[in-house]
Amino acid sequence: MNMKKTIYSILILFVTLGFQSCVNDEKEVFSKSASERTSEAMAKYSEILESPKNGWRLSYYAGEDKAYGGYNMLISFADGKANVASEIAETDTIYHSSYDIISNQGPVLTFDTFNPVMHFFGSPSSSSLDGFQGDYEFVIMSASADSVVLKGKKWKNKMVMTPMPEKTEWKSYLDSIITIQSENSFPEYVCTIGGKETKLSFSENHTMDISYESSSSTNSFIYNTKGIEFSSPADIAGHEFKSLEWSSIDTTFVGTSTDGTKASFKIYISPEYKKYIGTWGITINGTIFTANVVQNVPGQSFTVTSTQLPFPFVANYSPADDKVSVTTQNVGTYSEYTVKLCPWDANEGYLTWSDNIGMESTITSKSPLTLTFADNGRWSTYTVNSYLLYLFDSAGTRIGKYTGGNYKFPFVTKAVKVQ
Amino acid sequence: MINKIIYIMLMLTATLSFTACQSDDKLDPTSIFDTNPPKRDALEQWLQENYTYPYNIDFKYKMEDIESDMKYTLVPADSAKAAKLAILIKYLWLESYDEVAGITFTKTYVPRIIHLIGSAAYNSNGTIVLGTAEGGLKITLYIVNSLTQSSISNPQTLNTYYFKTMHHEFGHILNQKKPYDAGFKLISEASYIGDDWYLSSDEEANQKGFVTPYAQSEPNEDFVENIAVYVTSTKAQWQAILDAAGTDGAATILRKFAIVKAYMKDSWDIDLDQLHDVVQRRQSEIKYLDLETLK
Repeated sequence: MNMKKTIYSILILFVTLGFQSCVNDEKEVFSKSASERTSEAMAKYSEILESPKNGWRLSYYAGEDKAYGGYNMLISFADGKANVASEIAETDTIYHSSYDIISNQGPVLTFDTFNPVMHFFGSPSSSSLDGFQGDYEFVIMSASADSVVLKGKKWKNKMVMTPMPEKTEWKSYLDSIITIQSENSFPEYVCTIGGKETKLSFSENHTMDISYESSSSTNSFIYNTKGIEFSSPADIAGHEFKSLEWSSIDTTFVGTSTDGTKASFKIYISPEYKKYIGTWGITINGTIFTANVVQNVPGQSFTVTSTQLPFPFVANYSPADDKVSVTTQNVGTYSEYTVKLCPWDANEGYLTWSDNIGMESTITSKSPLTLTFADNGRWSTYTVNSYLLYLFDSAGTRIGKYTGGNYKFPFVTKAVKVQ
Repeated sequence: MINKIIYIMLMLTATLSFTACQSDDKLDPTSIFDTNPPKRDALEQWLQENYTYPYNIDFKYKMEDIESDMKYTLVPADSAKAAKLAILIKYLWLESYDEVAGITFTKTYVPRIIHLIGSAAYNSNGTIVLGTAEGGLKITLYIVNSLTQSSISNPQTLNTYYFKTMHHEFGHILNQKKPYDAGFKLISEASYIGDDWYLSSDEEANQKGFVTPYAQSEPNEDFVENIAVYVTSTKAQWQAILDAAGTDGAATILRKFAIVKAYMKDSWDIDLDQLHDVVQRRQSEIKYLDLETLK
């Protein structure tokens, strides 16, 4: 290589370097350094978290795209400890663990020791490697005395914490939520809005499908003390609804949309369900028992009574496959004992009192409506074809057969609707 | 001549750049690190006195996402269970090595970080990760939330979930500091099966000359499994492994074990038999430990 060229290149290099190294007189944009501002922000967030006297209500959403729905977490923060209660646990129990505010992807609120409530949805298992996809580390998006907006670090759900009203007891708050949940045991509701029949179908998670005309959407929601709040406004027959209120007296969900449209959702009962209501002749061991079938939980179950039976019993309805089933259940009391209807294999001479075992129906004729009964496939060892009434004490121990009347109902084969 | 010019120019520019950059910048008197001591609760105070000061170990019982394996969905350890495990680890593991090899040895070679995770790390093939060691620096223990009174009173469970793992991972650290006899790798060379180890039963692994199924994955794992299994097993349990292995399997295990034993003696002056006895004695003393109070 040519020497001169080398020298020039070196010269140019140094000159360039010299420029670079000396343009460092830029002004600080902020009056304080980045690290100072970070630690100040952390201190501020801590202070905000600790400030509400009665803690916070966190609308916790689990699952990717909130697929498992929302759950109430009541949290108070003090001295690095988080005290958490929730609708998913005993409402009178407060679980303690630690929390921290750390700097990573911005300020992050982390629940860093195990809390049975806070980590419930995030706990993995061998069958579900991600658990219920719940976060316990949250990027603090914004924080003020009246709301803290969090975003789950892993599953990215946005969640809001608002201060709990000072005089509201945590337990009574959660209890009123639980009450609404247990009263709302109906999976489907219907309402006609502006001529459009709209259906709400609740799932096992805190989500529901809303369908009208050809539109259908899945919406996650959270229970509150009045009913439910949608995680984002729901499209109901073309109107935006933020929440629905539960009326326990007439078992309806009512609400007003942002444009003032009112909706009142009543329990939806399918015509398929209704066809079972009436008088039936049930064949038991070749003898016909006359029985009355009436509505129990609308759309979901029936109560069956007969003068030839010592106790009424419940038959469950499955709308998906239009089947009626009778499984292990408590039917009444006799002296100090509980009377249980126990599925029985009368051919082999074995009975069971495990839940969900029993017989289910198949429709063999539509007019007159005729059903045959067969084992529902839940008893691995034997085949249910009959039922027995047995007595159990309060500890669940089997005492002996029911002695107040007929206890044996062998070979329940068929039922025909009389009227 | 040209050379000289270059040198002069070099010196010139060097001097220039020195002066040019001596601006009036002063160091910011406040550190970018928070120098205020953190508030420590009783457990943190205890860990400071029992782990940090004597062993220079940072016992991280609070889960730190950045310290954990992002591949897995994990949850933190329960703090009460972490406290019990901290007492147990000190007694069963750290002090066993103190007793056999001296505290200076322990202090020098133990990992600097012990990180606890509450849940297991589940793999999609149905196996779980019991522990990991990274670069001799950090040991991560999983399934801390499964620690119960009954698992504490059963050394077998404690060993399976925690202590076998700790001896195993510590073995890796020692291997990283001083290599072992390369002849070890040749003994079972044809039998290593990598990630398929979990498909074998204990007995199948024993018969192929391995102390555990996991030992079949590769020679380094095989080596440290020997240490971990030997010191945490009772004499009868070790014998049961050899019996299950059959004549050929047992011979292979013993050939490898002889190298492991010699390595520990020659490289670290640790008599594995003595370590075994100390660990076993300390296990039998768990019942006298007070796990409820931090002293």
